[in-house]
Amino acid sequence: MILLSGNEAVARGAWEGGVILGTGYPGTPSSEILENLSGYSGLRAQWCPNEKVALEVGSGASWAGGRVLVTMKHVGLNVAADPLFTLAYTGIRGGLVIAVADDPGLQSSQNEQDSRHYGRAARLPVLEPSDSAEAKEMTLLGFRLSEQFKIPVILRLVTRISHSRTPVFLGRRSKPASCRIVRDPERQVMIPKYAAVRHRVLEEKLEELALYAETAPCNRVEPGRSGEKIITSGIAYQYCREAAPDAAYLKLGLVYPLPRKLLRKFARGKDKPFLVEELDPFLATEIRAMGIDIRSKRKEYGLGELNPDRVKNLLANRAEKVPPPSPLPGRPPVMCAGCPHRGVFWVLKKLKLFVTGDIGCYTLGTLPPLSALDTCLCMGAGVGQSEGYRRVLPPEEGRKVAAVIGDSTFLHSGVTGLIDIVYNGNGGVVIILDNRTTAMTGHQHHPATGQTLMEEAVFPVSLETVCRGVGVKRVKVISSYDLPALEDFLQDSLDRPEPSVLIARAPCVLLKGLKKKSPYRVEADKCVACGLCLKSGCPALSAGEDGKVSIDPVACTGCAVCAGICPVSAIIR
Amino acid sequence: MKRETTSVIIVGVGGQGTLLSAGILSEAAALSGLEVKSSEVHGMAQRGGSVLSQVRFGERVYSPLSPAGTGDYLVALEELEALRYRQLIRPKATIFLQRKRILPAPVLAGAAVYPPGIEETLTGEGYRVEGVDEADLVSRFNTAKPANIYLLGRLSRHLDFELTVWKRVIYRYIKESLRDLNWAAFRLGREDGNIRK
Repeated sequence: MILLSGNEAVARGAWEGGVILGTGYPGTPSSEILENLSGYSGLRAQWCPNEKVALEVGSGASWAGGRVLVTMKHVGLNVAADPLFTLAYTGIRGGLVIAVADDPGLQSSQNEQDSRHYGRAARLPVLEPSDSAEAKEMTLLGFRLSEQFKIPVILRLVTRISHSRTPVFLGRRSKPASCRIVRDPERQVMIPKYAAVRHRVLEEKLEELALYAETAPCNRVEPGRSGEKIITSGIAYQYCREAAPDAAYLKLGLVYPLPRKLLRKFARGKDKPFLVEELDPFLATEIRAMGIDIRSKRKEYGLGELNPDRVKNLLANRAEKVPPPSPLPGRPPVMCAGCPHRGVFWVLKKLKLFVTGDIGCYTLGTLPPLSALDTCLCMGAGVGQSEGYRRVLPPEEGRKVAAVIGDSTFLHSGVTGLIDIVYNGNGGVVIILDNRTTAMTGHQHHPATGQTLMEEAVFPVSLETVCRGVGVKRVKVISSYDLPALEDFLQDSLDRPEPSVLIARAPCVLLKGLKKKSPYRVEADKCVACGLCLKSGCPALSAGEDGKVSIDPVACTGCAVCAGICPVSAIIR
Repeated sequence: MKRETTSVIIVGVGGQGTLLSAGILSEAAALSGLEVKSSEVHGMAQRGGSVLSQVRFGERVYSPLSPAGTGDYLVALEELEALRYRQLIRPKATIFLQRKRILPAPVLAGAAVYPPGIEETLTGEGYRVEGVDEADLVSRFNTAKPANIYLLGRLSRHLDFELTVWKRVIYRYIKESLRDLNWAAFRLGREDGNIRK
């Protein structure tokens, strides 16, 4: 028995299950699954440019007969939704499990969507573990079900499962299947004629799965003493156990499709069972549609993450008020001291540009004091949005719109937006904040870093060549710390009819092996306490009671952005 | 050995080693034969955000999160974070506190004030505070880095885990060049932690 996080347990389960390939795109809280899988022998784990590609690679390997694990965060499943829906028709050959991690409470996400809906929408079975031991067992079960019913299986995790450590018993690895080409166009070529047949086959599989659900060991009844009855699943089960230890439980492990007879039997009697689930009323809607009478949570409990206290109130049907804001100063995450994004945002703010952006550490540029990022919708969105703004704004307004995007994000889904700007656009500037890594999710490699997840050296995709290749004539690489050069290039780009790409390049200061430059300091005699440098939001800077600034020599990386900002040259090395 | 569930809340600021001490405590509890569940919020931990870890152990543990006001101990590597999360522990419970202030972004930007007299506030509210000055650690170790392990040493006085278990886990978790320093910090914390009944 050892302690594993939910993510480590899924990786372990995949390895024990004889997986030969793991694919995915990093995204909190799912990233550690593939990182852990890459540490096991006898398989390959790889980051793909995005989740759609990851699932496509996975489907190819599965059709050749191999067991495959594909990982992503909830919003990544939206990106992979196109292959997902049709993969449900084709089915699989080698077991295919898609581990998708939701983020109730938005610890690190742009929304708190409930991925269980994909089970119903794409007609796929969904397994939901409630701790690490189940995360491992359900990964293994997922592969068995996937092959038994020839269907991809969704393993739905949440942050609290992915990032909690609980005991797990380890098993041995089963032998991976051998792979070969199988020609089967009626199953693998989804032209309308074949697809119509496969749709019928899919619905039959779901009926069989619903039958399996009736006796599946992962759907279990636990007797109670209090007479209270609770239907629940996933992490909510643990909170319920804490809040109502003596209730009887129907704990669902397979949350789609559901066991109709089992639910009906459990619900029988004078007391209606209480249905407890995190986020959307997914189970409640399904179970009510079966004509089974249940009680369920008030609407407000569908927002945010549950916890033992909320579940206690939820079971008592108590109205929940929005808690008053804490009187204590918050401690939001900030761009690190020396972060290469800071100088770029400083320049963007100075030029008073309207900045369309997306997901990455640079999204933090929206927070005060920088307050220099104006949109964040989804991966890649800022590039297309900048074109949309310019398309409808009067020119004197449109010239103020600039897009920012990260290097990993650009390859994920920014390049298509850039192609649109070249194809349909009317100028504008796209800034690639190239810090040579996927920083926010924990420094994963991507196609432009020159390394894979397995640490093989590979050809690094050249961002500048890609941009030129799609037809951008003005492409310039400038150091993220060279503020005057960044400003000059941007000024020169705003009124041009053709699009420009500025690649602001400097490695993330947290990258391993990066040498720190010697720190800067403030000459107290020269400092005029104007506070301008503090507006860069560098956490190494702070002001004394007299307003004069000092620099924490331990935190300072010597990036010199503040020295360039200081109007009286008081900041020196 | 106490058999009901014990909950330890460990808080700090990204980079202070909060997650490491939660990992060590979890392993020590597991090696002592208890069921353990621990939970943490990372993701943005490296970016100077507030970090909260919860470690729960006992005969049978369900939720990895402890209900508010029921935690048994709070280990805080920073004063404001101690104040922020004190509601998670029982009234009069013990807080192991590093006397250290890390100013958050809103305070640095002048938009908020760092609350004064945090330790007095906590004591005034009835919590039992076992504090250590950051400077004190620096004078003993030339660095305050092992504050997280030092405070685990203080906490260890209140738990029934064997010293050999702690040593095994600390040596497993900490890289070779820092092992001796951290073990010394743990031992010192354990010696400093006199239990006052």
